[in-house]
Amino acid sequence: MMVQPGERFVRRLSIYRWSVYNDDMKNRSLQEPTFLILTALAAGPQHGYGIIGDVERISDGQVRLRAGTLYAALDRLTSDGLAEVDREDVVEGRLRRYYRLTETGAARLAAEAERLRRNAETATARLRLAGGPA
Amino acid sequence: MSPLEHRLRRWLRLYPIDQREEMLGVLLATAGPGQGRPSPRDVADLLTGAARIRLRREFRSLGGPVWRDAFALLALVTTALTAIALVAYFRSEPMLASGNLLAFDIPSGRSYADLFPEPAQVWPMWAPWPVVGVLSLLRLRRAAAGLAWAAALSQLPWLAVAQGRYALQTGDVEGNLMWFGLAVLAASALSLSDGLRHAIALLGRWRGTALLTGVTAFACALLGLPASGTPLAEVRSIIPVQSAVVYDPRWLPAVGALALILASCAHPRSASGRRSIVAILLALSPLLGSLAMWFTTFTMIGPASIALLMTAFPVLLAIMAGAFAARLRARHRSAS
Repeated sequence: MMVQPGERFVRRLSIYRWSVYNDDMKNRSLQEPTFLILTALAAGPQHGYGIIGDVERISDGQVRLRAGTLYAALDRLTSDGLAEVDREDVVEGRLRRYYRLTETGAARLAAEAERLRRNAETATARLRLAGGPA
Repeated sequence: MSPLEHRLRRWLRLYPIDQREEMLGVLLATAGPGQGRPSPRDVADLLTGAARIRLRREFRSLGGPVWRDAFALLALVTTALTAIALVAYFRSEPMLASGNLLAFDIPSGRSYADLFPEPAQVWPMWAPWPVVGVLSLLRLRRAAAGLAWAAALSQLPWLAVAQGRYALQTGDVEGNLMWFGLAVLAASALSLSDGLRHAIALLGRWRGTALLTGVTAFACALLGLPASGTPLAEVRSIIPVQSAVVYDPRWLPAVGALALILASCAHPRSASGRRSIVAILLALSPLLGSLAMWFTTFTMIGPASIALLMTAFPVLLAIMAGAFAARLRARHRSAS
């Protein structure tokens, strides 16, 4: 694709690289809560309360998401196209919205899981060489 | 409705409307038995979550039509204000003459003229702006924006030629910085919006008239009435309000005129109207600050107004840079 000279100049501007203006998640590692939310959704569509419980189980009780953190993450994931709304139900007069992983989200989760696996293997191997606990 | 639900609903007003009901269900489901109010950690989490969602949505909307309309209104106000600088040049007396007189009359006193950031009396700095206005009204958007940028950036060499090192002296530097900042804001807003014709269409007949009245009133308050040619300070009544403060009759009309400018552009029920309030408040903050500082310690005026300038204008310019980046990004995405 041809890049216009003006656009090339602007890309060089540091402001274009500021994460606040360029906040899609393509080139950044996922934060732990985000990774765990995507992992929870990998099993199938879930609503907010279900995700909180699932994340707690996946992390052996280490991560307990609060509503503000969960919905800020879901807002970012849906706007970046990694998750989407699957369906909405009304249970006991309350709205329940189910979220599911998109294909992009599944690919992103797989890439992140692979990256973490490689890092974990390297750490384990080095600890073994050093005679550490691994 | 339980007391907990009542309190949670109040906190959830911080969130976009499409998320509130869903979040309420989750918060109630995760609450402990008999809990009457959200815990401090839950409240902190709700506050940070709301801030993150609101900020992210705002940044994403920067390149969209809502901010484009807000920038059109900002362009209208800032371009109109530059006209005041041109009118000031054509007045027979320099703007601060009355202020100097007052300073001679009452050494311990001060008037609004001492605090108003004066535009430099260099005509090439202001002459292009009426042309910018006409071009923008004729919908020649790029030509208007290009000339506005040329006029804004050429202020620095003109100041260097006309004032030399005096341009950076205390007392002059605030005025020079503010008017340079306003010119850069006007050029940026003209580049990022559909121009003054669109802004006038957005305002409609009544609010457009109110804005014109506000700008004219502000000019009259500072420069004098057109018919008499006498600055209002010449007919001032000197009433000691505090020991070191002298009543300047320009102060109240100047406050009223700025309030009218803000009120005419402010339309709290529309998304672009709310954003234009923020943008115009930031753009006018040095002027509003100079009015507010009339009652403060005289020695604080210089540093405080420069600090206000150095905060408000960069914030507004950062918002506009964000809008520029968002549009380029959208264009890049649609092209790829």
